[in-house]
Amino acid sequence: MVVFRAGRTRMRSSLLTLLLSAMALSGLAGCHGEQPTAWSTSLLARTDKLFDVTHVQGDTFVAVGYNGRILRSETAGTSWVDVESTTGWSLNQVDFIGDRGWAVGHNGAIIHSRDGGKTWTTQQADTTKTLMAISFVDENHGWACGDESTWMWTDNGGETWNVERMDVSQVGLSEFSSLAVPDIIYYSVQFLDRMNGWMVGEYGNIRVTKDGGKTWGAQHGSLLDELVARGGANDVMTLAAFFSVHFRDPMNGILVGGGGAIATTNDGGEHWSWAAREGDNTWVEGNEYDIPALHMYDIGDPGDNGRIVTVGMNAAALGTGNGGRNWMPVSTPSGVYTWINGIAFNESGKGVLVGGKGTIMTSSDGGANWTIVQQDAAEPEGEPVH
Amino acid sequence: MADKRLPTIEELEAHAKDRAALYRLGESLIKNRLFITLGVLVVTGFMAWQASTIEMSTSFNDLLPYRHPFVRVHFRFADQFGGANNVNVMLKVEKGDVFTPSILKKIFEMTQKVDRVTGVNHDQIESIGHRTTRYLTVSGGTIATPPVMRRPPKTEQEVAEIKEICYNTETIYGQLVSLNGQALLIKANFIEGKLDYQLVFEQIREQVKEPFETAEESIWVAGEPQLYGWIYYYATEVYLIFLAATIVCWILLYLYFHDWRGALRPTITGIVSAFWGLGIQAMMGFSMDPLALVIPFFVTARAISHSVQMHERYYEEYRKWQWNKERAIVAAFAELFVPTLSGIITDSLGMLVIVIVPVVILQKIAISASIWVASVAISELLMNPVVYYYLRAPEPDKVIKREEGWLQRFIDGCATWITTPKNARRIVIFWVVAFLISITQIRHLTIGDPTAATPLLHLESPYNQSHIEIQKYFGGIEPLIIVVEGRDKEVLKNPDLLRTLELFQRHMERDKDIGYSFSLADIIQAINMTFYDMQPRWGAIPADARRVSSLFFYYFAGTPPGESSKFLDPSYTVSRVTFYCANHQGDNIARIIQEARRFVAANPLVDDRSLPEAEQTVIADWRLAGGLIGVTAAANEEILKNDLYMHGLGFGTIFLIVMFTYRSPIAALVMMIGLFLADGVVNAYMGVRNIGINLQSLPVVTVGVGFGIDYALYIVSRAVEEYDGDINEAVRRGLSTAGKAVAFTAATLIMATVLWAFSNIRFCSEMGLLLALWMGISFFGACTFVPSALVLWHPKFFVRAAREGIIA
Repeated sequence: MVVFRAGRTRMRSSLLTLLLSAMALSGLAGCHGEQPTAWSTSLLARTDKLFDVTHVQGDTFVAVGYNGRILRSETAGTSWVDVESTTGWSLNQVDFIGDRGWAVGHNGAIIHSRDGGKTWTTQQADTTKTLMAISFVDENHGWACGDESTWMWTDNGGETWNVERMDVSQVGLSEFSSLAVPDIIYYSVQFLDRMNGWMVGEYGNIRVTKDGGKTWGAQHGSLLDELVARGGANDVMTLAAFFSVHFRDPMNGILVGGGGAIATTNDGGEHWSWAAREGDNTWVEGNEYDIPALHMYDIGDPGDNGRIVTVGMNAAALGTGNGGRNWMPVSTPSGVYTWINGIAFNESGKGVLVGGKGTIMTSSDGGANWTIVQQDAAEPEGEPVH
Repeated sequence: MADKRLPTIEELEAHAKDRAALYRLGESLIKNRLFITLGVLVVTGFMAWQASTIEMSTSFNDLLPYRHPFVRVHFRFADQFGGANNVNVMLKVEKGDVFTPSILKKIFEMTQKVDRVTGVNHDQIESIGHRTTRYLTVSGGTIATPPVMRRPPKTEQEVAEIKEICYNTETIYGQLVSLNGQALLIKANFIEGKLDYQLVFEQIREQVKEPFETAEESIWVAGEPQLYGWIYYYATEVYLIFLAATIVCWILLYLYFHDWRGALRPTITGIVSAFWGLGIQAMMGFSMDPLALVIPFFVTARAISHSVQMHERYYEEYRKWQWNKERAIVAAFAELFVPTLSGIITDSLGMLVIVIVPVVILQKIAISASIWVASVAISELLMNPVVYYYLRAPEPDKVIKREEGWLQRFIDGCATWITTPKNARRIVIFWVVAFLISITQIRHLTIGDPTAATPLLHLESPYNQSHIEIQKYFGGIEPLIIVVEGRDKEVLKNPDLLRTLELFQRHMERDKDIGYSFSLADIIQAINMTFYDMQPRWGAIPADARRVSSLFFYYFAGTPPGESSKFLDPSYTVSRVTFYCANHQGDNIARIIQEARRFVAANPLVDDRSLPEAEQTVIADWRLAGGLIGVTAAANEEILKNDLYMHGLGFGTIFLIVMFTYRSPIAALVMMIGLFLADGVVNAYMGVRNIGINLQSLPVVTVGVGFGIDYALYIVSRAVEEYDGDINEAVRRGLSTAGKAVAFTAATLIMATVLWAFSNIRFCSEMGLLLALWMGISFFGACTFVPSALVLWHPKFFVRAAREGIIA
């Protein structure tokens, strides 16, 4: 019994210890489930909108988009990092000369990078108009254009910008033309050197300068002439907006725009001619494929003697081998139907295109075949979304 | 125990004098048997009639924690912005895309059918085949918003037009048409007050799914009303399970008692208490939730448990009193009165504890289950002596044979083993280790649903398969609605406010479980883009307030008011941001809500974000959060807040009752540690098996706390009774008598409960297994830990209770 009594005392204390530790542990256990899992963000969401991409140097590309978003890739588009932006306004277009870059956007936003797109600073321009495009020919000389016939230029790399207003072209302007015509949105600008440049926009306007922007002429008359020859009216109101202009040399140029409009020139724009328009593919001979009446937003040039890729609505991506006369769809992943608004290539034919729903695609063969970089939920054959 | 000496009648009479009051009570019950029988019969008959009127239904609003601010937001805005009850119907093609005349005709007709389902909110249907789903177009210099389809398309040209509209409208592409073009979605919101789950389920199956489904074109339906529809569909099997469980019980009871009276007595108790419980539930106007059906089963199990104890004791007393039936009845009644009553009170109060959770359905369950359990006292204590009086006494030779059968020998062997001090110590150590292991597993326990699909049904159930399939194509379908309420009229036209909404959307969409979102900002962007050449770069909120105003003007000039009200009210004061979430898994909801709260706190809705903070004026308030995700978050938060609290209250109640019964906190501690250990193990099981604590499992988990306390009460009070100087021997005898009935009860109930595992409702089968496990562990705790503690510890209360009686 003596042994038993000793055991009893020991047991009493150990029972109490047990009880106390049980209470304490269950207190700990009470924390169960309280901690929400960590907030993890993906680089791209399916509502991300990317409006443009450009080639910087080597395999470096920079893409810009909604709410001032800037993405940068050093792997020709296969992987991307977020870059801190100095603006919250949407960025519409980006252009690089060497490691100097500029991007423009809504509310007159202009931002500038001096290190290949890694860091950005804000530049000031005396406008709150939406800017749609920008083109630089060297570190100092650049032009931008946008809403309400606004355009501007700089000769000091953007330290100061001179805001101008484009005059109204009288080409194809009838007395019935809308009041909107003087307030044209210019969607695209390209300068080949300090003197020669083009600006295109709404109502089929093609403007050209040979003196760095002091004076502007109009080149859309030849397109209207072609329409008149087929019984159309000589009226810019019948022309859709041109969204992009691209000259691969001073002679050979191409335009794309609303309703599947494509036009080309081989004489520096003295004469433009339709390749397709509003689903009408009878402008050129030898078409194996009919260009649909979809808006085409941007032009990409892999630098391969007239091989060009254009992109647009419903994930349309078309390629030409003869400078834009005849077109065939290029190979893009199935199951993507969003708009594509930007396309760019580097010297070795590696390409990137960007668009809505967080879409980015890459090509390594000059734009003939494209693969998705990151696209949420576009591949229902995959694992269910957990 | 063949050598056990039976006490003489004199000894028994002397013992009876110690609790003369209870013996007298028993006698007077028998004396007034006619009166009692009639009274109980009349009241029970009335209750049975009441019980027959009870309806099986779920009221969604009852499931919500009504005091939570989220739920208040939900109630205020559900009519306008859509509530938590959405049915999603997906039409999927195996080959090609959905843009063919026949598929578009099909979605149009299906949408018309959905629009005719009872209780649907006609202005809250989204589908490319519905009049309220519109797109923007410029016509004649102004914006028009025609429906995507006015009628099914006839020509390829019309189909191509619809295709282009769908792919170029942000609010359609990815939301109503899958990104890969292979699936179409119809989203229908139901008016909560008018919701009849069963009717909706049947109408959708008969009119929307079956007539349109083919091998190439499959139809998938998910959403809360559909889920409840399935549960009702399966609920009929509950009766089969009840029947099977009853048969199992009967067979086991017959085998145990060797006569039909042994099976009849628990049945009477079960039925009488069921009538009372259901009757009172019906009188209070409560209906029966199919998911709460496990609760009555559980309550009936308690009733049977008490009944078996009483019957066992009656047999024993009958032999001891040398086949004097009336004395045996009175003695069994008097000796078991205290443990039975404290067991019933413990169970009843244990269930009542749930009433503190401010969720109507839980409060209803708490009240009705607690009354149900309390009514066990009617048949067990009031009616019991009377029933025995009317029933023929058992055959003496059967009684003797039972006490010397193999079962008794086995129980005696176990009792001897357990009460050896060396083994007792081993048992205590075993339990401590088991508990510690359990603690490590409890961390896996989740509040809310632990899986993406609904845990209420099996993963392979048609409902969950549909849910997964729709999520695969559309990323998210379960809405989280955050309301923006302006402090003044017209504030929604403020561009900075719209930009803040938009930033909120873009921020939240980065979460992997948010598919996409929608707000007024999206509408403005879409109008802007349509106005300017359909160039996506214009899909932005204008910086200029006048431009925003004029865009709204153009848009609403072309849209019927009934169809714009789902976005905002006519005074531009109240609007919403809706996030479509991939699932309502508990931890995901917690994360999403936490992030939403953080953003909202950091980004007040001010007039001009470019001004310094001090000069900004707040013009509108964020209101979190409606939609299924919002109210589920509210429920989870409420459960989290109450879970520990209820555990505490549950254990506290038991503690107080046992302490009162034995006038000793130590007694209460000894008996409760067993429960505590069982609770830990069961929680660990839930963690491992991925059963989350949600509105449905909470009552089961809470009432389970009280499981096993009456096992301990019966054993300890019997041991106290048997005490004659040697505690170890007293505990051994307690185990071999009361422990035997406890073992039998536990075995019977576990077998009956395990039948639930066959249920098609995963919740019921998991809860069945959980309850079975719980009963098993509680039983082991009561039969091993409690006696071991008594043997090792020799607590003072034991000796005192033996000397002075359990309750003074």
